Amino acid sequence: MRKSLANLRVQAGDLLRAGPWNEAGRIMRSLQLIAGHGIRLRQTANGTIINADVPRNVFIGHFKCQLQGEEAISVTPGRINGLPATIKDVPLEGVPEEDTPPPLLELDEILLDEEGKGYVAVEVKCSEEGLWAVEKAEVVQVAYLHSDDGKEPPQADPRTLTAGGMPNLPGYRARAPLAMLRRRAAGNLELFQIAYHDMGHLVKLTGTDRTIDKARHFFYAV
Amino acid sequence: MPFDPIDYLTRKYSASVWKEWLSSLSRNFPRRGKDTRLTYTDEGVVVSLSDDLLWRHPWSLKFMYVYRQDRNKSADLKGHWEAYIWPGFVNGEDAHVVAMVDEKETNVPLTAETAPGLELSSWRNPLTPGGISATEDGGLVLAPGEGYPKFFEKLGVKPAAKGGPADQASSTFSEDPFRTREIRALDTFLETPRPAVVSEVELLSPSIDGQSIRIQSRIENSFLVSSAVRHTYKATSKYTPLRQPTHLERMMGTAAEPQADQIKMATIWAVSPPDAGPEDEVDASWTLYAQYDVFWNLNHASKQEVPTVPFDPLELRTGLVFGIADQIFAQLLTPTNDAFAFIDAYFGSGDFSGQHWNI
Repeated sequence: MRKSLANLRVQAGDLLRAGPWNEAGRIMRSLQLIAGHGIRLRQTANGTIINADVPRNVFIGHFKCQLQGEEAISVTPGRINGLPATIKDVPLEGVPEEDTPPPLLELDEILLDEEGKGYVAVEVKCSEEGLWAVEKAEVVQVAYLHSDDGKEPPQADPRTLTAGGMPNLPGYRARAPLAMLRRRAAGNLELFQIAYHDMGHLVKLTGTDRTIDKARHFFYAV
Repeated sequence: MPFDPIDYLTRKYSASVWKEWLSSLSRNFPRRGKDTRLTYTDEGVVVSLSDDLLWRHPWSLKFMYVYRQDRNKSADLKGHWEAYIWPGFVNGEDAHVVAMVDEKETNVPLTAETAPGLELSSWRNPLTPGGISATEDGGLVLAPGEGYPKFFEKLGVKPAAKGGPADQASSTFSEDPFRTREIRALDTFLETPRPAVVSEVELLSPSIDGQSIRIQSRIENSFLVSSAVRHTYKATSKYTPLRQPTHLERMMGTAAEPQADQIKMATIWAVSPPDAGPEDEVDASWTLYAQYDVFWNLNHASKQEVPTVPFDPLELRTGLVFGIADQIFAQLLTPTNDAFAFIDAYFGSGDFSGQHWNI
């Protein structure tokens, strides 16, 4: 721009012609301020006030997982069908009346699959009367979402896995992923958040025999 | 002293006033400070917060112009735009992009340590007429151009073709002399392979079999089997939703379900520098913008899972003689209510379409 301005220099007595005039107009136009992401502009007679909407905190959301070293994971409060999720039966928000702080998911060992991938998940346990109401939502760390113990690869029917939804686990259970863990080549553990909202939960019995084994659990943001 | 162009027309200015005005322009030139990002355009300076301060939602995109050396012409550097995708998940599983790794097409998860970019190459021109048709009097009529979000008007993008008679409609002339930029677009989508049902109609001899028509359905899963990964993030010039077959197509034996579910993820717009022409290609001098359709991670499910036993064929007895097809189909299209409900249930059981939703 400085180069452009240099071309507009005039000497006393010079006639200002259309070329420099139009060039000056182009420069003025190019210097207008336009509000981009996170910026608010207020134009006044004496200038333009620039306000920045700097995020004071990063977006947290529900079920936000954060590594506390490799010994524990903190999880912000979240609910499944309105039922507060827990860690070892303590609600994620803690129990203020009993001075119980928000619990941490303590890890004796980080469970990862052969690719170095694992999950923080919320495991729902449904009522056995056939109503499939969520009775408990416990946060767990597993290597595999769809196996009974979360440590070994899943034995579920591949037809169920390709159909989508979360397959039923023995004991009327299913897991919804909250975050993925990945072991990096340098040895560090990286966490990718998956869930950001409270979740609703529904069950569908599938197949012509509509057996419990073929139940599919559906989790959705609410 | 503020510069007043109206005043300028009515009086003379000294050279010193003009110079002072130029100096004030120079002093007011915006420069980038802490935690800000400035984008200089001919229409103004876009002031934004630094990307580092902003939270990135799943599937958000960053763009980079990448130069690749042509192996045959070592002096030539060929470039293209690539999109880098902030990791998103489907059913908690990784989504993948197809990238060239060691000169082989490879599926790489978005959470990989060095996730590759998605090559953006098949740009469409939303300014040009959307189609052409002939009129009864022999004239040609052009459909209007696709257009673009109003935001890009402010950046000086030419208007899209308005449509109409061919000799007038293709012009993207703007009365605003500053709207001289071109624009291109492409869409991105996520694809999840799934089993699909193909139905076939068999006409049988009523004299031998005592029936006239048999509708058979079978599962087709070749795409699912050949897909190394479950969910792939792709780019295309213009996204068109996959079409499920109708009941009529199933009855006619021409139905074939698509072997995948897709969801549109974003439209990427590329805006040229000023004074660009319609033949100009998207290069490093263009600026890319993302318009998102999906902001959160996804879950996906088909309506049903593959049955353990094959579908029973649907047999329709018509009582007609020796394959008079038109009458048979007439019979098929005007069933009684009971028969229609039966057919509807049969075809419903063969519907494997799925859906993506937010988690």
